[in-house]
Amino acid sequence: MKPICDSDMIINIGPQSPALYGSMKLAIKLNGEIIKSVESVIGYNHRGIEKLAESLTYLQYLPVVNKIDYLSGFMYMEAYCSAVEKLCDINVPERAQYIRVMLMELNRISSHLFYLGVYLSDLGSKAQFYFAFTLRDEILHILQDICGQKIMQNYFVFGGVKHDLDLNALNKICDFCSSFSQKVKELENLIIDNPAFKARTKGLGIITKNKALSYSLTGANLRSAGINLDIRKIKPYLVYDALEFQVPIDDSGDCFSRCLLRIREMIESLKIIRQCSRFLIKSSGEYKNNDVNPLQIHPQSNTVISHVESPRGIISCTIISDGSDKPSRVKWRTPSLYSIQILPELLKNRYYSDITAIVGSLDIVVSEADR
Amino acid sequence: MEFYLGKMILSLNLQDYFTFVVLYTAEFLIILFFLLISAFSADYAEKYIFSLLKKKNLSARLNVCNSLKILANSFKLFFKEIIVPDKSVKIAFFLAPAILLISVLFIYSLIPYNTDFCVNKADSGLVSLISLILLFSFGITLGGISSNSNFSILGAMRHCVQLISFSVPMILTFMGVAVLSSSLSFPQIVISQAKYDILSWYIFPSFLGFVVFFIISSAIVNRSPYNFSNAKSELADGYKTEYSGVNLAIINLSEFSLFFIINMISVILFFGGFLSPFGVYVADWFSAGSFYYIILTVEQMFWLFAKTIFLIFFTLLIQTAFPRLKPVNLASFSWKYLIPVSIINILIVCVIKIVFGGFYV
Repeated sequence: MKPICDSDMIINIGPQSPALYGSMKLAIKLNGEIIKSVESVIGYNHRGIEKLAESLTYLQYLPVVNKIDYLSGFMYMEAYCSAVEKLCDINVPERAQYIRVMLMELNRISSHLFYLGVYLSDLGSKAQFYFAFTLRDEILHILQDICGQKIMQNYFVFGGVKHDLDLNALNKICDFCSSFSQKVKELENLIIDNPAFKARTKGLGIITKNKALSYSLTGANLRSAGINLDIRKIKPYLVYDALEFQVPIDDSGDCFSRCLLRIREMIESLKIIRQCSRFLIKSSGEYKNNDVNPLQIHPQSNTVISHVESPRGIISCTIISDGSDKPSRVKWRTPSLYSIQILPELLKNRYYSDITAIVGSLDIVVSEADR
Repeated sequence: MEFYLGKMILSLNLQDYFTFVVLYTAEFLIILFFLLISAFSADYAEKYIFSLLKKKNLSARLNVCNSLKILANSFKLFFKEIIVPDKSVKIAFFLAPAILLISVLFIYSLIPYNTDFCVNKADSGLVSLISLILLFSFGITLGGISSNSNFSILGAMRHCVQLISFSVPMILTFMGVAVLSSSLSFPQIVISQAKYDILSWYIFPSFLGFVVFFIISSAIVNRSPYNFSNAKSELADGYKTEYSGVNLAIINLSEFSLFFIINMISVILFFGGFLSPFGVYVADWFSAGSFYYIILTVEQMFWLFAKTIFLIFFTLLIQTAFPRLKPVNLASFSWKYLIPVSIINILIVCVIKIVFGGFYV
């Protein structure tokens, strides 16, 4: 047996650990229960998604895209589609834009619910996990009705969406909105007002403004540090400039505020969904650009970049085209990669039991970081 | 019940030592039966609460027949390969599950299930209980340290922190009950709560003591929010990471049955044990005889188990809704709040005992 206090103990959390969302390793050097150093190892989930683009045509690459992140497929579809649309000068009809925005916000809520459920389950309480996942199931069923799939939807195409939304689906979404606004308050009571949750997360894992900027964090992790950066407001894509919503900000930068911001974001997303569904019920129009044949698109030899605000931060998709039917390079910026990089600094000199509280609060999806 | 078993066997006119062996074997088997039943019902209750939270109709999966799956699953573990980690301390590694099971069995033998049946009617019941709970903690620590794994060692060390946090308030709350009943033996404690039915239960004079013991009980059995030593997301499976096969089955069995028995002990100490809350029994309608005794036995056991399951329901609700705390939190909470509160409880209990001395026999 090794003596515990004299020398440092090395513990590997992962690659298969219930505390991490995906295959990732944290090599931790412990002294007693205090963490001396952490090394985060990624790459177990690498699927070569960027390299794959070079051998596939623009349309063939489309279904691959939403497999980057299994929780926010729509965001990645949107980032890729809008980049290709910029490259080929394709217009997206207004109705299609509203459909896209609505589905993306539904996806944001489902992703945040997943985050809240799994975070609380990691911290050791089951009630919130079941509550959040029951709510998420409702959203997934709606998405299944619309797209035919729960997670890998593959619903967006160049110049619009695959098929139109019918009134039945819109009514279901309206029903969900009215029930969810009640349920989210219950969820807030269960999580934010929970004294044990406060004791675990308040004042823990503080990210200051400078640290957040130097690690180029985005999304709720950055906004919890007091920096108001949301692509939907700064550089609006689709119809976000026509919609009314707020971006919640906090300045404490700890695990608690990161969790709080995500609950507030769900409420704002609900506002957007309501506005979109109101528009879609009233209006009628084309749901995709009929001039475009996705099999025969003619890209210019150009470099385009598109940004999308995903549940975890800013996604950007860069496409370098040489005018042929295959992209010569596709580069993805995925937000979780940057959240993983800040882990060693946050975990240093903390208790071992703080690992789940800190790692869980950053909303890391490892498959997204590995690509 | 013991009385009847004894009488039955004595009527067979066997030799004395043989009677002794048969009697105690029968008692052991009855206790083992209680242990298994309670472990399975605790497991079943947990699954039931989770199904409520999911808001899904699991009536097809949670019925009596399907709950036998728990039995089948644990029986299956007996045929699994036992993997012993290299460089582990072999004797201690195999001794730890045995210590856990033996300590729980001894705790079961202390419980008065009805007026007659209590295997170990020792006058030092509460003291034995304290020592057996500490023995259980010793088994956990031994298993964690001997299995030569970092996760297990951390789990065992965390359990030690837990131990020094919960043992002192636990003993202090027991002292309050001992003062009220002027006795340390469990049958005496239960009988002394019988005088004015529900009013003479010890929950009223030592309410603070009950609150302290209720908080502490989840720390004793390593359950949320104090499940540091087997925190799944942090320490794989904590002190039992390296255990497999029958050893794991024994550890899980003894953990579940300890969870049940701790709630049963708080029923005995604060809620009148096997006594009917109304002071009347259905058996009273029958004239004294063997039929009367059978009905009374069943009824008293029913009250004991019903109260325990009622308490387990609340324990589980609290355990599901709260995230796990840190070991440091429990230590500071225990020493800053629980110990002063339980000392205040003893003072209150002493005053009540002096003023209303005749109320409690």
